[in-house]
Amino acid sequence: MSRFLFLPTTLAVACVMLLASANALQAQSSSEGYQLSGYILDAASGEALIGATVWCTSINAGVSSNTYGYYSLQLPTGPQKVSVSFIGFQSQSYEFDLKDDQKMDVELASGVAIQEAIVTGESFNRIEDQVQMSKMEIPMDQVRRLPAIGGEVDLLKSLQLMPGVQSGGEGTSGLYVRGGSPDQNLIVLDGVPLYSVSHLFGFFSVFNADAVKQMSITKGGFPARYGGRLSSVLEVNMKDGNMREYHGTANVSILASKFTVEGPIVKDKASFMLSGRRTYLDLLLNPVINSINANDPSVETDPRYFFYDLNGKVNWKVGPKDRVYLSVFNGKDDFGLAATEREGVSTSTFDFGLDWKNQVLAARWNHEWNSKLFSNLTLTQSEYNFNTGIQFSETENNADSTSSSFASLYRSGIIDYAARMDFSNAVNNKHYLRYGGNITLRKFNPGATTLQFQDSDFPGIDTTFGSSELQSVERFLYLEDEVQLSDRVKANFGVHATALQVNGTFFPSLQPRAALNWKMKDGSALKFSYAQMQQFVHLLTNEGLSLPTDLWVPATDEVTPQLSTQYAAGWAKTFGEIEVSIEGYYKAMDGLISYREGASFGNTFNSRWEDQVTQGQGNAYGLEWLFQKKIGRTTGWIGYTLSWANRQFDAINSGDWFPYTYDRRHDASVVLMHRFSDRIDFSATWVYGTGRALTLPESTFRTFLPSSFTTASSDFDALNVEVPSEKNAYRTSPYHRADLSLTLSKEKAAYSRSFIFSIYNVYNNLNPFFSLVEEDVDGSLSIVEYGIFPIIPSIAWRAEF
Amino acid sequence: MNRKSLPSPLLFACLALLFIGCERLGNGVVQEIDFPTHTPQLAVTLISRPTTDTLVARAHTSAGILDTTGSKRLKNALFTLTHEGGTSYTWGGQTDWVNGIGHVLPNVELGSGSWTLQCEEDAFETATATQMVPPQIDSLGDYAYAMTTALNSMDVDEYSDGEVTKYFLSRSWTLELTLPDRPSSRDFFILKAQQTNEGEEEEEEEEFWENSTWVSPDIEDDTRIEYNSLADGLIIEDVSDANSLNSLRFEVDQYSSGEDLEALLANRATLELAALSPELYEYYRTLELIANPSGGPLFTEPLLAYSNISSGFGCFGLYTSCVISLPGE
Repeated sequence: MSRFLFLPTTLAVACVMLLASANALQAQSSSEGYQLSGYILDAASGEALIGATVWCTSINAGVSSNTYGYYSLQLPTGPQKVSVSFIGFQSQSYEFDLKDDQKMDVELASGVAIQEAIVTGESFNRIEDQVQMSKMEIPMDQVRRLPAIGGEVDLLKSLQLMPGVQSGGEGTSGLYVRGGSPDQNLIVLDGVPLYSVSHLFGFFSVFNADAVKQMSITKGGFPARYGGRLSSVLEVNMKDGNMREYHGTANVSILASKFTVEGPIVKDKASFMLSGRRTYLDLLLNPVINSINANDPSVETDPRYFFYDLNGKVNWKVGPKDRVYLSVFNGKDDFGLAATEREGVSTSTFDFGLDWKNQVLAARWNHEWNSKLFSNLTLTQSEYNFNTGIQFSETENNADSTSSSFASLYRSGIIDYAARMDFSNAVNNKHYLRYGGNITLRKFNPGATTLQFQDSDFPGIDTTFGSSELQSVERFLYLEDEVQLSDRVKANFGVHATALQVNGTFFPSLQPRAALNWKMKDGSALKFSYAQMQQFVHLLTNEGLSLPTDLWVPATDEVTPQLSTQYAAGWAKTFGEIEVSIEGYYKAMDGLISYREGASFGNTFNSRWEDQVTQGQGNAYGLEWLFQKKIGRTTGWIGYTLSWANRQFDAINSGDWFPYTYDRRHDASVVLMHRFSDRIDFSATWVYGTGRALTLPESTFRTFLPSSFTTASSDFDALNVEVPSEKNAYRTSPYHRADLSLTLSKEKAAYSRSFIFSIYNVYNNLNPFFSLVEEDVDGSLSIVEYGIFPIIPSIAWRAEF
Repeated sequence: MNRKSLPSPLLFACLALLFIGCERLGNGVVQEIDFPTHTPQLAVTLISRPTTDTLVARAHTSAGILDTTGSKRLKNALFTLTHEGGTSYTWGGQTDWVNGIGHVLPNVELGSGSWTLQCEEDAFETATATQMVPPQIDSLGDYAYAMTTALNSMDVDEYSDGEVTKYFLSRSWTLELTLPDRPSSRDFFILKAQQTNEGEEEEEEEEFWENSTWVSPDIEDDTRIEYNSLADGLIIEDVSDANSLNSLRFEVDQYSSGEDLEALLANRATLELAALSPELYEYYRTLELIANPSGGPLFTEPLLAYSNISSGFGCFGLYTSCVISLPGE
């Protein structure tokens, strides 16, 4: 868009924000009523409850608590009845005579203690009452009860069970939302974007479920406060830490162990939460690998692989209107192999290493200016680094005592520093304003290679080459208004004005957002949304597999930003305890990048990344059905998605449209959880998905190239050349799998403990992971798909104290 | 952990399931992917100098990837080269087939202008392709290249076992080359060492010293120069500006050994310089990416080899070439 439109609109947004703030700061009780505000907390721990509902039955309206548990609702003067509810907690009702602005902090008791209704929560703010569409949430209590591979619960894999969210492949934790790629998901941990969310080459996500309080994913109908990615926003919030008592959990599974401790620093004033996890694959596998090599004593090998992550959080109620949070996350994967071979006087060593690391820091300050105006200031740093290297050395321990060594090191990374200010302003019963701004400084290191050579007979070499560092500044302002247009129609209108500055190039963007909820007479709701999104970062990745080598790069004047426009329409209604929603969507995308034909991440080691990619467009459309039961002894959901996702790049597939790798026509999931008693929990899942689209070699031909350009023309070298199919013309087999989990718990004097038995892939269906051309004994060739995860039983032990 | 709290039947069941799973994984196979029946297409190769006196054309059928017999030669294929002015040559069939070489048309001189190659074979759609003569800048003609050379170093080691003395000669030159570069067109060249042995980089030291010559660019990561393993040389392309191929610097290293030092010194290193047509350049570029994928076969985006042959595969490509001899001393 042109500066001509961008600047005045941005200024207008800024002016409205200033006026709204000024107006809110002088908030006067009006004839419309008074303000009821406060925090909604967990009675046991003092933790803020996110998304709890405050509902006034007399006016049949309500609000949800925000990320910090804060709510503000304008009510008419006089007697009022207000109910507060949250899934998993006992609802509470209050009756009072409202004569002035009133502060009311509410503490809800966990429903787990109730015998007859284990998971409870009377829902007032039902799905049909919400303007927001395409947003899904799985309560953490349910996430922890889902079957998990190796007993290691994974947040992202639980989201893959929801309609519109697909997995990349067998066992991997990447998210493909409504035909988008994983880089199009904005994944924020306590408000900080994470650039890599995988451990163990994508088989596990970095989120430790024990440290997480709440998560939600928004697939479309994005309110104006969200921006920067095309396909989804996944918000993960860490536990704040128990304000009243010290508590902890320990969890031991066959893959990893983790612990979490939390408690008050100053009771009801400040608390902490610390959680750590480490895998012990290296401890399990090293003896096996060493025993294989035991036959050759001249060779010593030292394989290594581990990952760990640490989550920490401190929160402090500075005063009745101020609260400060400090969050830290640090996660690392380290993979490598070292070998030493001794032969006579010579010793040669080999060392290969690959590691990647995430680090996130966040400081947040909440301030309640008055009963209508709430603000949050967030200062963050997010860093992702990838390093790989290989080193050889040879030493001759003889009279000459010669030695030589060669090392090649490659590193890439991204780091960003951001400051963000958000205001929520409960203007009156008809308008709820949210506005704010953000500035992010990003530094990209798109890859640098260092070569080092040392030899006792030659001068050494130490040289570094590769793409140079890039720096960008991204700013945005947003303004949104959740407005009650009539008794039956609610809407959320907003604008997200953003701009990127990189290498002297300025990319302005003005993104309108709109969502509308039209309540029907039968209680159901029709919903509509429209959202334009722009993304200023790209991820260089091969479509087949997400690897730590995937490289974040900024939009530049050569590789422009990604854009999307998404339209969605849906219908929603709650039948008893079951929420039913049907949504259709169409998403058009532009500025997508892909490696050029014949290119790969290997090219970026020694050439400009811009030369390796090409840009194009895409579309995705489909229908999603979700039947979800969130409360009661039996919970779960059935989801089904019918979808199409396509891509078009001028430089790929002769410029013709082709199906996206994760174009999945049918995607279904069934999740069932049942609590038989306080001691026995059972859960089961079943998933089905159309096979992944892939390109395969289809034919071969023989050709000839001159051996020499100056001798006889008959002197040629023969070459067999493989011809690939049209892009993504083939499909792997459909994916389907069922998992089971049984949790047996027991209360002890000082703690409770559980054994969690899980069976991954119960009916032992080997799902495709990769394919190879193979020659049979009789010489015939075939293309064969291989799976990697058969039926896998596992056991985990968990203690809570 | 006491026996009461450990549900041992469940553990046994888990172990049994693990065993079943391992057995299934041992087999590994999910399924074989069904391919549609392959419809064979012509794969035609005619890569030549227009000034050569012999043209060699080859036609093969493409083969399905699962066809173990692979791409088969078509001895009955007929080739026709037609000049825009009307001149034409036709050859092929069993009569012009030379075993181990292809369909040979001797005593040909292709004049300037556009030439169209046509390949016909029963049961195949006729394949055609066009090339211009001269194919690109004629490095021996009006657009002659310029060069300067300097011998930087020369080392002679001798080794004697008492009966025979063997000399090991290593020489290094600097070559500065200015290639013709037309402002309005992209120009492509190959510079490669003319090897007098069949030595490959990985071969044993003894063979390496037989007689090998290596040419490498003076500037690392020069975007104009890229090694192409199929040509066993450096492919040089211009950039958008004119005169971008001025004063390209290379290092040439020669290693040779023998008992006659005089003969070794007289054996001058030679390079081949060829100017490629754009189509031939594109053919080399894509074949190299296919043959040596940068991310390995699993992580490299699949690529279709360039072809200027209509309704088929292969390449009709022309080049001109010359030999550069480096001074002995």
